[in-house]
Order: sequence, then C-alpha cells, then structure tokens
Amino acid sequence: MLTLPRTADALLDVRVSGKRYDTRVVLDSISLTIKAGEIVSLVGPSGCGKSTLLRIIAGLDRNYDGDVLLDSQRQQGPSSRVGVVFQEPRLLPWLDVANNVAFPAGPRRGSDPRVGELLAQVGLANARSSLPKHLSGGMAQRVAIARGLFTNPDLLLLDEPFSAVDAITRMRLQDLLLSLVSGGKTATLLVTHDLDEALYLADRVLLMTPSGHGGAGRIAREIAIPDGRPRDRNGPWLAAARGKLLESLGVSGS
Amino acid sequence: MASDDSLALPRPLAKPERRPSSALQRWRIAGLLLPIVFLALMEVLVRLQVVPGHLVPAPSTIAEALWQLGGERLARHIGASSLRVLAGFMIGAAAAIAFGAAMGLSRRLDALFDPSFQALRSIPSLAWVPVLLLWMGIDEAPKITLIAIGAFFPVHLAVVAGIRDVDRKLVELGEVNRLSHAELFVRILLPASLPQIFTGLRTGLSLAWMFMVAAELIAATRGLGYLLSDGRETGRPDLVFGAILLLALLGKLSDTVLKFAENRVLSWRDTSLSN
Repeated sequence: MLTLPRTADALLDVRVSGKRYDTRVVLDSISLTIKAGEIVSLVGPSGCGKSTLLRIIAGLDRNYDGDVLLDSQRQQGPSSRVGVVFQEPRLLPWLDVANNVAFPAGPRRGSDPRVGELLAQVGLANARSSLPKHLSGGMAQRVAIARGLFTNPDLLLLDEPFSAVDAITRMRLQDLLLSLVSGGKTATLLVTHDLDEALYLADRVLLMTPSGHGGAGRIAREIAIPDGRPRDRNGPWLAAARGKLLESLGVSGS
Repeated sequence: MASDDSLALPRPLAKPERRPSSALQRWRIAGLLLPIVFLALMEVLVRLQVVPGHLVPAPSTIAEALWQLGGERLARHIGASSLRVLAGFMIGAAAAIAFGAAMGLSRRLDALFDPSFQALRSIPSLAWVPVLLLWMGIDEAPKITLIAIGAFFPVHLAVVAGIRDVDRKLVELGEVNRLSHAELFVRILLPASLPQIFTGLRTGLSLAWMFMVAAELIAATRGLGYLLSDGRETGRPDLVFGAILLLALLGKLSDTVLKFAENRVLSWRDTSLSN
C-alpha cells in the first residue's frame, strides 16, 4: 500500500496498488486525484487498463488492492454522486427517451422537470417520447449523457463515450459535453484513446501506458492544459501538447 | 445549452417510413384463404370419389355432423375444453415464471433444480395420465394439472434462458444506479427477457391444447378430446375430423390473441418485421 500524503481538497482520490485478472497484473501502483469541477482526461493505448481503472472508480469492479475516496469517504460500490456514461449508450429499449433519462430516479419518472431541462440542454427536447430504436447513434449517446447527469453528480465518468460515432458528430458531442460540465460543479473523468480529444476537452491529461511490471498500466505522464476555453482545435498549443504525449508513448511526434 | 443549433431537432422524430405493405397484405389474405381452398378441394375430391369418404369425410359432412350436435352441446364441448386450457395454462405459466425467475436469478437454485426439471420435462404427456387419475380422481383437477404440466416446461425454459441472456451491459447500468435485486429484476431483467418469455408462452399455450386432448381422451364426458374419442369409439370419422378442425381453429385463435398481446407489449423491439 502506498503511503503518499492525501490531497486534502480532492473530490476524488484514487490509490490502486494492484489489480489483476487471474495472474496477469493489469494495473500497477496508480494514484490520481480530481478536484471538484475539474475535467481530467485519461488517455492511453488500447489494453493499458484505463477502462479497468474507470470501472474501479465507478464501483463496478471491487476486486483490487487500494481504495477510492470520494470526499475522503471510502467507496464500496457505485455512488449516487457519480454518473457514468459508457462507450455504448446502453439505453433501455423498452423505455422512451424521457424515462431513460430519468432512469436513476426510479420507474416511470419521465415527467420529472429535470428531464425536460436536460433534454433541452442536449438538444433533444422534441424526442422525449421517442423510443431508442428511432434514435441515431449520436442522439442515443446524448440521451445517455443526459441520463448520466440526471442526478446532478459531483463526478461524471465517461468511458470512450464518442468512439462509436462519426468524426463530425464526435466534435459536436465534445463541445456539448464541455457546455454541460465546464465551469460547473461536475468534475469529469474522461477515458479516451484519442489524444486530440483528451487534449481538447481536459484541464489535465493523464497518459496511461502499459509500462509497469509485466505490461501493467501506469500513469506515465501528466500534462496540465493552461489555456482557457473555447480552445482552437488547430492551435499550436495542441501540436506541442500532442508532441509531448507522443514522445512519452515512444511514437515519433514529427 | 447545446452550442451547435444543428443538434436540435426541428420537429418530433418522425417514425421510420412504413414499407408499403399492400403486397404483403395480399399474401396474408392468401394465407388465410389457403385452408379454405384446401377444404373446398377435399370436398370436390370426396364427391368425385377420388378419395374414399369413409377415410376422409367431406367437409360438408363434417359441418353437418357438428351442426347436428347442436349449438348448445357444441358450445359446451368447446367451453369445457377452453376453460380447462385457460386454467391449466395460467397456472402452469405462472408457476413457470416464478420458478424460471428464481432459477434465472440464482445459479445455486438452477444447479439444484435443473436436473429434476430436465428429467420431468422428458416425461410424455400420456404417461402422466394414470398417475394423475390415481392421485386426483377423474374430476377437473387431474385434467387441469396435466395441462399445467404441459404449459409449464416451455415457459420455464424460456424464462430461465431469457434472464440468462440479458445483456451484461444493461445489468451493469442497473448496478451503477444501485438497484436492489428486486428492482434489477423488475426494471431490467424482466422487460429485457420478455421477447423470449412471450415465445415460451406461445409454445406453452399450444402444448396446453395438446395436453388437454390427452387429458380428455381418458376420463371426460365433455370437451373436444371427449368428442374425439367418442367419434372414434362410435365409428364416426366425421365427428373425429370435426373435433380436429375445431382444435386447429381454437389453437390458432388463442395464439393470435397471444401474438397480438406480444406485439403490443413488445412494440419497442427494433426488428426488421416490427413497424
């Protein structure tokens, strides 16, 4: 167990000293903290354990060494203060959009005023009574984001949420996510394998690589992005930051 | 607010266009007409004595035999059989859903009960008859029990398989939202397995009709199974065929009702044939 000092003002404080599947170690000593309202990206190549780490933080995986503290409280399983958006929308096909968004509140709560508010924010105010089968992939993911935010969580976890949509939709969804969480009270941890996405969205980018013992995932580098928002998707800052990440990944940055 | 106006929908989502169904509609009508055409053909073949009348009575002879039974007696036979099927099916399906849910949710209960249920499932319907007569006499109880046994297994199998096959990702969504076991069952597992459960219910209903005939062949004074065995014993093929036609008709009708309910309840399914 690591005995590094805890960050007092952190909303989320994660210390994982080990996580294995059978005999394979997938996570090596990892520590990360997120302050309230902060947007953090966790980026890395496929199979480096970033989704595993997110599942641990979400409380879906309890079989690891270490602990997850939310406001200094040790977490044992999922918390109502944490919203999760998965890679796929995971909408319940038998519920209309409104009831899917209100799913965390309980059955048949689609008439909750918060639903209309959130659907307006994600641009789907007119789709509230549609069934998921009538939604495009991008729309369905917007519903999933609205559902993740329904409980006004202090922390929103997103697991490669835009990897299954086309490039244009992805950029729109990124801006939508920023409009929902930046400057607000919701801290965000975004797992992605897209370097540009990580850099564009986050206040801080954590690069995870399989550089630990036996290929276990470790956080190899941390980059703070000082720029204010909105950011230029083509700005020189992006190339510089990307260069740093590529260098750590051992890929030529030219 | 969405920073990009193109995200907003201009109007409520339009339902996907329906495929022009007039062509298919014609085939549906043809499907309903097919048995009628077949009966008409039989009528002609029997009248022309291509087919011997003592083996296959002409449809008009069958209709006449049923007519001679009289509406009241016919209604009594149909009513007795239908009520038995309804009662047996409801009891069997309810028990199957309860056991299936328990076994679908708990690996331990599944491991405990599965071998016994597999063995019981392979017992043919007629083998139950003497046992049930011995235990329950010749009243309604053994008949309804036999029908319930027939309906039980397909529904049970479908419920267990349905719950097992629910996408792990949806279960995880329930976990993230901290659903209790009961909530997880009602809000995710049950609705997600409804398509399979309905398939099981329809199979169970058709088996209920079959088991009903087995029950009535032995000890009954009313019902279509009784009509069948009565026709056989008194050398009346017209009555036998009449009972068979009625069984086919009632089976089809009851399945149509269930199918209608299925399409209503499962309208959310994203299949190429729905909508």
